[in-house]
Amino acid sequence: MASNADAVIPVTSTPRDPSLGIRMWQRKRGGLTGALFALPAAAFFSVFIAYPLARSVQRAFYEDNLLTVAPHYIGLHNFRAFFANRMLVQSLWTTLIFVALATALGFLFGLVWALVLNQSFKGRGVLRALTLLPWVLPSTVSAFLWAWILNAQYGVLNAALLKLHVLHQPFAWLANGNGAMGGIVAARAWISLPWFMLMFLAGLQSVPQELAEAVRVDGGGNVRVLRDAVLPHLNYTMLVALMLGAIGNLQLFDLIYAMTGGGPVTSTTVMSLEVYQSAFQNFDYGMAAAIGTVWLLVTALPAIVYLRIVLPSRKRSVG
Amino acid sequence: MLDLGSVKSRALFALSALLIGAFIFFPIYWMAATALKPSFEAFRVIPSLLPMHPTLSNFTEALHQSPLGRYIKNSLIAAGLGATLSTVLGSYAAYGLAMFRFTGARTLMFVFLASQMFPFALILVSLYPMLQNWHLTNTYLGLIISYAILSLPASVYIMHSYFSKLPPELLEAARVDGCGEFRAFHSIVAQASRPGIIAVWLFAFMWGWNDLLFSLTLVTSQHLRMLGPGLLGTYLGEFRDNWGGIMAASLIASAPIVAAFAVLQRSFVRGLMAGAVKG
Repeated sequence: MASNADAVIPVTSTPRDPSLGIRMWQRKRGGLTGALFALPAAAFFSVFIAYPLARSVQRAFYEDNLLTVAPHYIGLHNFRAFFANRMLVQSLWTTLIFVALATALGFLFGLVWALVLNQSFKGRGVLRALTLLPWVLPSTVSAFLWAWILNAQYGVLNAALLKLHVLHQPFAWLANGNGAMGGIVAARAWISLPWFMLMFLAGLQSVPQELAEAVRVDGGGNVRVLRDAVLPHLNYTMLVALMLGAIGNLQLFDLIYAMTGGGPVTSTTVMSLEVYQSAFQNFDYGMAAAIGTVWLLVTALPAIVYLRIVLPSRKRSVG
Repeated sequence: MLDLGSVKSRALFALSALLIGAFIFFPIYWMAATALKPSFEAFRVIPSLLPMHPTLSNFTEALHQSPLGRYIKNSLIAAGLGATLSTVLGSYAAYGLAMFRFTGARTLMFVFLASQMFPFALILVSLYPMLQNWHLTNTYLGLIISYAILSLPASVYIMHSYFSKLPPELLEAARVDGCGEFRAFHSIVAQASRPGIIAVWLFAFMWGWNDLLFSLTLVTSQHLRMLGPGLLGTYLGEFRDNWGGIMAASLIASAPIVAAFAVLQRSFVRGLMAGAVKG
């Protein structure tokens, strides 16, 4: 039986059960003390996370902007307005395109990089540590850095492409809709690559050597080792990484706001920016809440998949 | 795991390592190289790979172009205290949830886990008027609370997974000693879990330090400006195309978190592995 603790967020699928002792221990003790330990966080969570979230979802059914004296209930009006507004529907698509591309790229590069850093060679430890750098840098810094690399006049990317004769004149990446989308996807993949790598590295370390060796004895090469032994073993890790990665990208605000501000025009305006702009630039809280609620529902899809895979089935009584 | 005996496999391995390695590290190198170049050298259509006339003037200028020192101080205070609040609340809760059985414990754990999917901007739509009513906008306290919001769920489940793996003998020892539950937690469990606690604090600190959304919305006074909005305001405004200065300021702004990470790298990675955090 999977323990509660392991089920919370196991990165790998090997079901070690170190908490058997813990469960024996749990049984002996009074619940009231436990509840007291949990109380401060539960109170903080209720007041500052759950309440505002519920309030926002409620607000989505109200007219609540600069012109309204007192917010009043208008049913689904805000949602109808959302789906009738082509720009807003477009932001939903922009979000999905961004999430699909950024998650796929980070996932793929992270996986390959994890395979590289799983080989033993000199300096591997240092390389692993340095790989985490893009992930710890402030998002504003990463945004500046990529805007500089993609700079139309003096950017190093244009310089390289001109030298290689891929381009004949400089391209203004961030002034072009597709260029800007490519830019935030690349920057986000760069930031999240280390995180994907760590997830996969943990998974790789638990691949049983015998499995790979069995394939080799059968005469299989690297490709077959990957296909028949390594990747099947990583199935679980890959699914968790994919879902958590997609959730993170769905929620992304900082990098995009700092790098493109949603532009040029609205070509990189994802849902998070749309909510921010509606609430804090147009002061239309009702509309912002409605956009945010649609966004929440979209985010719920990978979240439900994630919760289903990490939580043990309901019948098992834990906790 | 891979067999790199043949020339072909070795070449393929080297090629992918080189390509992704360049993708990861070249931007960081470029940030440093640009920061060290005088402006006449940085602004060339085909730039030199190495700074030919290295100078530190970009760094000294960056410190004058904006009150960078003040932004850093503000962010240190708010992110540091926010992380502390989140770690304390999270550790207590995780201990209660991991070690005791009580009604609602399971639901509570589920809620903390599920709250990863809550979009912060949506929370902020109602949190903002709330904090405004309580006169907490433009205060450290408002930011400390917000930064704790960023990391509390993760603090709970990372510590939960950490506590669950503690050896039961340790807990038995605490009990035999006859100390009360709270004393046992402070004097024995918390001591034994120091690496986990440090990792959680660092995560929380990093998220606060790197935050833009809350810092941008909850602070309007120059005086309390946090790092992210401070940098944006300076370098999307007055010093717009001063790329040498931007890169120097970026390096300065990254230094504290990179240093903290370098010192505590081991527990950082262990913490991440203990509980997967969204990407």
